[in-house]
Amino acid sequence: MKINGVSIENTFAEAFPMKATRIIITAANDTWADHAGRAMTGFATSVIACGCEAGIERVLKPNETPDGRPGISVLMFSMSTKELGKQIQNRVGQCVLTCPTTACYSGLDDGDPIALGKNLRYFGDGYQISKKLGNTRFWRVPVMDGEFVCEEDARVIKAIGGGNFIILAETQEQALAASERAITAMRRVPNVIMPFPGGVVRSGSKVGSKYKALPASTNDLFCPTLKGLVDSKLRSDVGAVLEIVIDGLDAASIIRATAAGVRAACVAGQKRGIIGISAGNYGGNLGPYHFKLREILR
Amino acid sequence: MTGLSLRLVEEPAFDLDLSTVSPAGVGGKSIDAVRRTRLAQGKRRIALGDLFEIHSIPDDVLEFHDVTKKLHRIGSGMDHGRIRIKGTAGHEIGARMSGGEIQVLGNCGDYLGSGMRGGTIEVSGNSGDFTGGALPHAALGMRDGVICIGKSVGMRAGERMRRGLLIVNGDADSYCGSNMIAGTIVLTGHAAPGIGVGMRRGTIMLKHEPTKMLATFNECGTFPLAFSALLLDHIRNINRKAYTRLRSVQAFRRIAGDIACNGQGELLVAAQ
Repeated sequence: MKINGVSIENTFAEAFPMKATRIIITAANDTWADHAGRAMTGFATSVIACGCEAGIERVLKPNETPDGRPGISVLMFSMSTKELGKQIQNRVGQCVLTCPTTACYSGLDDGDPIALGKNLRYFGDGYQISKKLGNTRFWRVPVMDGEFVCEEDARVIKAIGGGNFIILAETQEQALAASERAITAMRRVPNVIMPFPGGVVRSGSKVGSKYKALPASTNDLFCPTLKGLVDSKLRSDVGAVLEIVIDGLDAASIIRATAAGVRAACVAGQKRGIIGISAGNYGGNLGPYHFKLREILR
Repeated sequence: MTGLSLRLVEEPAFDLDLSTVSPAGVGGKSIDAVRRTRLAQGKRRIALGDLFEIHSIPDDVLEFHDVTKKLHRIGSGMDHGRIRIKGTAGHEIGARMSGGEIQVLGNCGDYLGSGMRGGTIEVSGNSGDFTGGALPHAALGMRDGVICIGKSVGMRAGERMRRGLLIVNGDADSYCGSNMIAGTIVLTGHAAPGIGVGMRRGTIMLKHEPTKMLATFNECGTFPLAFSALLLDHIRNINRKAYTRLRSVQAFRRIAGDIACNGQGELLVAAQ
């Protein structure tokens, strides 16, 4: 299978179950909503060392938010509900509560409840106010610029992490340009995030290491500088490889994002140095979700 | 299930307790059985059919027509279903109800929705004293649910209210929100003196400056509160009239009180 002369490898991305939530952050204007969102999703690229994977799903217009102000939607993924709860509390507490003018709401209607403002309210030191509107409880916590409004609970649902595809290019510049195009296209797909910096990861990993302390290490089979040393999976003309990792609330969204991303990455075509598209898997032993590239792109 | 229409044929000699004529009380009964429903009138008992002309209607609602002030406790204690009241009803309409919907096309007496725990009451006209408040023997006023009043309320609306939402589109007589424990009152008309007296927590949102503020309320300043947008958005789906009157308000003056009683209640007065 080829798209614009770019070879689509007959392989699959292997993904695993995660727990996820969506948080809506609003603020007086886009800038401050963005500040809060970026702070909250910082250092959240991989559950290996960050506790969660998080990213800004999209920017929300005022008519899409609970309080009619500009906002952003953040998706957070973790391996367990308990860890997700801890991450929500720390990140909302340190990055949203602290950010001027912000308020914080659950972005999901269904799922198991998990504390959002339930514990953060104690920052109000007894001056916090509870308000139940319909079936939803909000907390109003007095802060120095007015009030921090926060919904009591967010919702946790089952989700999928680790969807991915790999771009093989002749040069680093070409791989980067293809990745940027892919990410731009994928950010239009709802229910997914690409948690790495700019949505792209260069340090794809394999499970395990020669060093006992490390759970993961560099994916040597995809490192172009090791082509002469290992049983490389790269052709001789591949000079740079970049991976895009996708976490999604459901399989359909990951499929849509993968399709959009691969097609956008292949727009430049073989003539401009994009050689192939592959995907990361562990032989089917790691996760129950297999996203087969050729089936997705058919 | 089809509904029932009950039209009052003649004014009763004594006040009547109609709490048994509820969706649960008459649901599943034949019209004849409903007509035979016994009511206490003074020391005698009479049949419902002696006072009301009763027939079925296609709408799934219990509809009372030509209601007078002598008919009390309609919908009191109800937990589901719909009641529509046309006329001027007596006291304790929807008191202690836990679910369902009551619509009053007209006015009603005191203790409307007192001690209610859920459901919705909508009154197109005026309501009497202690609307959403506590019954004389009770510790708490309304504990949940929504009451919307089209015009004015009497004294001590929302007295000892614990939770829920009371919307008043007209004026409120003295001591509105007195001894409130929590909950929310939205008042788009004017408030008589004594508003919020003894309130411990809770919110009273006001379109107009109160006539006279108690000395135990303290000015906190004017703010654009994110919470007010949430509340107004909530009201938009419940009472369009109140929403229309308040939607243009950008900021609220926060007046905290009653500092004689905890002081964690607040009046939010629309900034002019």
